[in-house]
Amino acid sequence: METKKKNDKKRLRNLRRFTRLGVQILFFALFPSAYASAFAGVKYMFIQIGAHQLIELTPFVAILIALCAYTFVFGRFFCGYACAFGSLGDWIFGIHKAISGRRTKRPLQIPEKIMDWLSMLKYLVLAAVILLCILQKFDRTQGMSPWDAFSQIRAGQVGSLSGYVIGCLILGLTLIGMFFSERFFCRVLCPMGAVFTLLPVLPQLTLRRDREQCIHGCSGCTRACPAGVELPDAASWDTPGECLQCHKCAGVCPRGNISCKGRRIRGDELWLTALRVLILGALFVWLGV
Amino acid sequence: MKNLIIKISCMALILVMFAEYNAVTATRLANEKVEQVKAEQAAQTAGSGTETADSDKGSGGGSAAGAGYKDGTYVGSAQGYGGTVSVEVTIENGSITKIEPIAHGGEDAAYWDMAVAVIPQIIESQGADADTVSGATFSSTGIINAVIEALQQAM
Repeated sequence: METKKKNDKKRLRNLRRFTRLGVQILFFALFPSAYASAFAGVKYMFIQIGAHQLIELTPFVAILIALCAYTFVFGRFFCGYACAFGSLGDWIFGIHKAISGRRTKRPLQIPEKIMDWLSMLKYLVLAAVILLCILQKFDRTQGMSPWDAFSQIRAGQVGSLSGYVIGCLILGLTLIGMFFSERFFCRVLCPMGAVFTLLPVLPQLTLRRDREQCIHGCSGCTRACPAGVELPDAASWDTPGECLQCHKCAGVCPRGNISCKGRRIRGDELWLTALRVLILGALFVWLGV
Repeated sequence: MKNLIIKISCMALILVMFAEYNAVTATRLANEKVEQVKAEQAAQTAGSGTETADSDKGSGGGSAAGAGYKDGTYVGSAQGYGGTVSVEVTIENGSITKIEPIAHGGEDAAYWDMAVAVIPQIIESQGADADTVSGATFSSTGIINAVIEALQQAM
């Protein structure tokens, strides 16, 4: 009886993992520029401010607002399931895990304390970009963005890469970082991620854990988490800004302690994932991502 | 609960600041426009009326003053972001009167919508003397280059 339950649990968990992979591939193929478009909205707003012009509702600004509103309700589901760059990082890190063969422990990782400090870098990146935009000097960074270099490669424009030498270099370093450390770019460098961590998020659909039920000294969730998040207690109204809504924690918890506020919803149910995917996809189609 | 309330309040404050900024800027731009119109009227009544028949704003940007293009419709193409961009340029009485995009090379709709903003600038400058759209550089460059190719047929 016990083994059947365990097998069922395992099968369900694998199903959820494959679903996530499928969704990531879907968004990578259909909406690869979502991240860039939203961040272009951020840059546009501050360029306008610096030029003393009106902030108009351009498509980029619309995508930015929509994505932030979506994140307010659903948490950073975009980061965990739909961002092309994040998916790329997951797949590269997956290759690393497969090669190193150790699946239970995280291979070769940067110590969490150092990662905590490094995670502050993305706020610096955001601040620097905003400052450059206000000072009307952002076009000087043309060709330096690893994201732009990635977009060029993805669009097949290999010929124009000569204008993106620095961008390609940073992209290469980022990919190496993502190979060795899960979601390295997202935790350490992503300015859009910095924006997301600063947003308020409703707790009704984001994850927390029932501390009273935890096995003493377990922290399986934190160890499985790509961002090293320590989930808040079940009664908390807080949502950790670093949580990417990837649901690996829920898949790993031996006691099934992980759920959303209100405890009715676990947070990684397939119907909920489908709902979130549909809403996000519809938003993207509507906004022309 | 406290943290969530603080974050929501900060977000609300930031949104209010952006709205205020826009309101103030709109007022300032409107006032500047009024001043500009007044200045133009004053210049006109002072008797210096140089009206060119074909331009709707008397501003002196760009080239092609009297570089009479041949009348007709021309199609030009160039490389955009993800593929080839084609435009149809209409010349009447030696000037560009219409630019119509007829193919966009696989650009995402959001980028394309931003890039076509370059078209009014091209018409106003009567040449390819327009700034690319920041954030949609490749798409807008594609449109500009496509227009250049069309104009070369009209020389």
